[in-house]
Amino acid sequence: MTTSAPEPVDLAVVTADDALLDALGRGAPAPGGDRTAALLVAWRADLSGGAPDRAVAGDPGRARRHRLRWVRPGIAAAVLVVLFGGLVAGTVTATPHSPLWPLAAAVNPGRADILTADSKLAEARRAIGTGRYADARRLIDEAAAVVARVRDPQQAKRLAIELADARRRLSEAGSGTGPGARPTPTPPAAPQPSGPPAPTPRPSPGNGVPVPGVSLPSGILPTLPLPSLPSLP
Amino acid sequence: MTAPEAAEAELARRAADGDEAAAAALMALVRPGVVRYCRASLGPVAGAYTTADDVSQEVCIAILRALPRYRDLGRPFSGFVYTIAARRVADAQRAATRTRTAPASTLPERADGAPGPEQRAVAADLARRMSRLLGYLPDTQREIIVLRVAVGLSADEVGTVLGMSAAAVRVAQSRALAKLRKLAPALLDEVPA
Repeated sequence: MTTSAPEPVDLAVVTADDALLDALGRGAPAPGGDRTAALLVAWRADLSGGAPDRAVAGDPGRARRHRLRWVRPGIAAAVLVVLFGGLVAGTVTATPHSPLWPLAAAVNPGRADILTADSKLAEARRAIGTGRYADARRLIDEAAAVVARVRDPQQAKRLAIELADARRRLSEAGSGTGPGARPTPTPPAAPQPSGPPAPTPRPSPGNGVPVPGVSLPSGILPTLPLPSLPSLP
Repeated sequence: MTAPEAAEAELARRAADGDEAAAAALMALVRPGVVRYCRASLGPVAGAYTTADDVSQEVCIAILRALPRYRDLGRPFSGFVYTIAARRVADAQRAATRTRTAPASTLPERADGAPGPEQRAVAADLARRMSRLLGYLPDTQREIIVLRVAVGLSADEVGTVLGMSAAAVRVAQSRALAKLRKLAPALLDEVPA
């Protein structure tokens, strides 16, 4: 410990020191002849993991291998952990249009299906609202395919209801009963005769397993009765 | 706040409001400084910064977790970042002293024996001497040098982190430099090059 009484500070020195530290903090080289500044520059470069290799002199090859073996994976792992630390938090709130969505989908595919279905249904409703019935039909069909994968019974039930609602709105709007109705431009491609026999839609009898019955092949039933939900236990 | 500081604070505000893209950009911006801060504060162990880098990950995660609590109060975001970082580093230091296994003895000191042709070894050697030199500074002065040089914060930002006025930071950093200048020659000439 070298504690001595602090010397009085000269304003010019303070200003010059401040400018020097600003420069060093930006990564600037040390002014010529300033050995302390040179030390600080070497130190900062070492901390940055940049040019100066924390190598064992005399065997740079071994040192380099050592770095490659441990440091790079270490840094890679650090980056991954940091990214994941942040992103996993981010994925909890990510939605299909946010940048973290691909990661969110990978981290939690079940939740991803639910959000994808919700997103497609929302788009479908917008499409119906603006008279883009073909788009709406396509989106509803896509949503139906995703809903079929949802395993959470409550979510599956909710999505089935929304899906049915979207189909009902589409058929109303498309058949002239809805606002702004006009001839439905939907292609007749929807029914798929080669598909499996259409499962009859059940207005969910309350046994909590509505999924297989509700994920319909596209377009077979334009209107699904809106299942009233007997409350689940 | 300077323009970059204001931009960072704006990014932080958006990240705090749940904008993931802003959070990712913010972390990319903040992380290199956090890594240098942890490395500077904890130093190398057995010649590598592995421990410090582990801590810097924890710091980054802690920052992300704390982000929803961040409110821009007209202060630079770095104040938020390095307050968290300082706390984590102190935790790591306490943990290290509890389980101390004499890391100094495992340092590969052979580099000192080699006369200077190997530039990188010399630079690394200088860096290690510098971190030893910083050990002679009082805590606040050392923290200021770390934040100013290793991280690259302005005197004002350092003031926010340490709860000092910028003027007090400037005086303290001058004292720190004066002390380093006095001690450096002895340390540099310790081993003839």
